[in-house]
Amino acid sequence: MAMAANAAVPPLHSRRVEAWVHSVLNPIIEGLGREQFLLERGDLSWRSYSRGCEYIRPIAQYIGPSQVPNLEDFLDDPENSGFAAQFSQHDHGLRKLELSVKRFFEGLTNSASFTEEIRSALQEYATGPNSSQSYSATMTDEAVAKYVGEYLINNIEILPQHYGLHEFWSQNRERFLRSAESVEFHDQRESFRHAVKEVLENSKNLLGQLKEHRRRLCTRFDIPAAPLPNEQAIGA
Amino acid sequence: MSPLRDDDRRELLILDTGPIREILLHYAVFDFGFENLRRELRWLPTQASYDSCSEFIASFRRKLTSASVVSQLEYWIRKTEEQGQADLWRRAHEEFRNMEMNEEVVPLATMDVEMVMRFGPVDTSLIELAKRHQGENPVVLTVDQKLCGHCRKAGFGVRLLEEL
Repeated sequence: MAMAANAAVPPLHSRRVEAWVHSVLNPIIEGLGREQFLLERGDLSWRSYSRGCEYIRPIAQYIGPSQVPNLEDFLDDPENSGFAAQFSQHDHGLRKLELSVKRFFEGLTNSASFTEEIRSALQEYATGPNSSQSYSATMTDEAVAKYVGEYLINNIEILPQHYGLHEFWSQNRERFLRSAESVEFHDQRESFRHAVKEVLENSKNLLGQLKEHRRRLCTRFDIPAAPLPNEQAIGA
Repeated sequence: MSPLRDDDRRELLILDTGPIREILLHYAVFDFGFENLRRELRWLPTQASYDSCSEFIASFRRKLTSASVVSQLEYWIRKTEEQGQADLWRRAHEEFRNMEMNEEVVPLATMDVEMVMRFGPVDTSLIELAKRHQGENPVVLTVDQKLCGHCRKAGFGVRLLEEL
C-alpha cells in the first residue's frame, strides 16, 4: 500500500527523488547494461555450483543492501508506477532462463553419450603428446563434465591460460559443441535459447524505459543524474 | 639473466595481493563490463598485458597464496562501491577455483615480529610461505618493489607484475 506521504508530489530538488536516481535507477541501469553486454555475447555467466547466472541478477540485487529502502520507496510512489510490474517480469524471465539452463545442463551431464565423450576426451588428453598443462589430480571426470557444461552454456571460446582446463578446452571445444548440438538435447537447447532471447528483449526494453524515466525525473525535479564529484554519493 | 629471476623451474608460484587484484579488475572490466573499475587498472590495462601475465602464471604447476592476502582482498573490496562488492567476491572465488589456487595460513604469532614491523603481516606471510616451500623453488609474484627487493636479497625467486 502506498504511504500517505506519497500522495504529495515531491518538491523541486527533492532528496527522495535524488535517492531514487542515484541509488536505485543508476545501479539498475548499470546492471541491465551489463546483462546486455553478456547476453549479446551469449555468456550467461551461469555456474553449475549455484545453478544460477552470477552476473545477471534479479533487479533488487543490483542495488546495494543498504539502499533497499530507497528501492521500496521508489516502487511505492505513484511517480514511478509500472516499474514494480516490469521488475517482476524481468525477474520472472530470469527464473525461467535459469530453469531452462539447468535442464539443459542436467540433460548434458546425465547423458551417457555426453559423459562418454568427456571421458574419452580426457583419456586422449592425458596420453596425448601435446598436453603440457595438467589439471589437478583432484579434478574428477564428473567435475570436468560440470565445467564443460558451464563453458558450453556460457559460449566460452578460449579460457585464460592460467586456468587449469585451458589447454583441454582449447583442444576439445569443437568436439563438445558438436555433441551438445545433437538431436538428443534439441528440446532443452531450444527452450534455453528461447529463454535467452526473451530475457535479452525484456532487458533492452526495461533499460530504455529506465533511462527515459531517469531523464524525466532529473529534468522535472532539477537534480543531477549522478552525484557531483565533490559530493558524497548516496550509499557510497 | 640474473640468477634470482629464477622462474625457469616452474614449480610453485606464490601470489601477492596486487597481481590477484589486477587480474580480478581486468576480468571484471573486459569480460563483465564493470566500466567503473577501469580507472583502477594499473598493470594489466590491455589484453596483451593480461595474456603475458596469464601465460606466466600458467607456467607454474602450483599456485599458492596466504590467508592474509585474502584478508587484504577483503579490505580492498570493502572500499569499492557497495553494489559491486558481491560481484567482486564472486569473481575472486571463481578465479581461485579456476586457477586451482591453494591457500595457507601463516599465524601472526609464528611470524618474525621485526619483519612484521618492517613489511606488515601480509608481505611477511608471503616471505614465510617462500621459506616454508623452499624445496619447491618458489617464485613470488608481486607489484610491491619493497617485497621484491627483500625476496631478491633473501635469495627467493621473485617477479614484478610490470616485468611480465
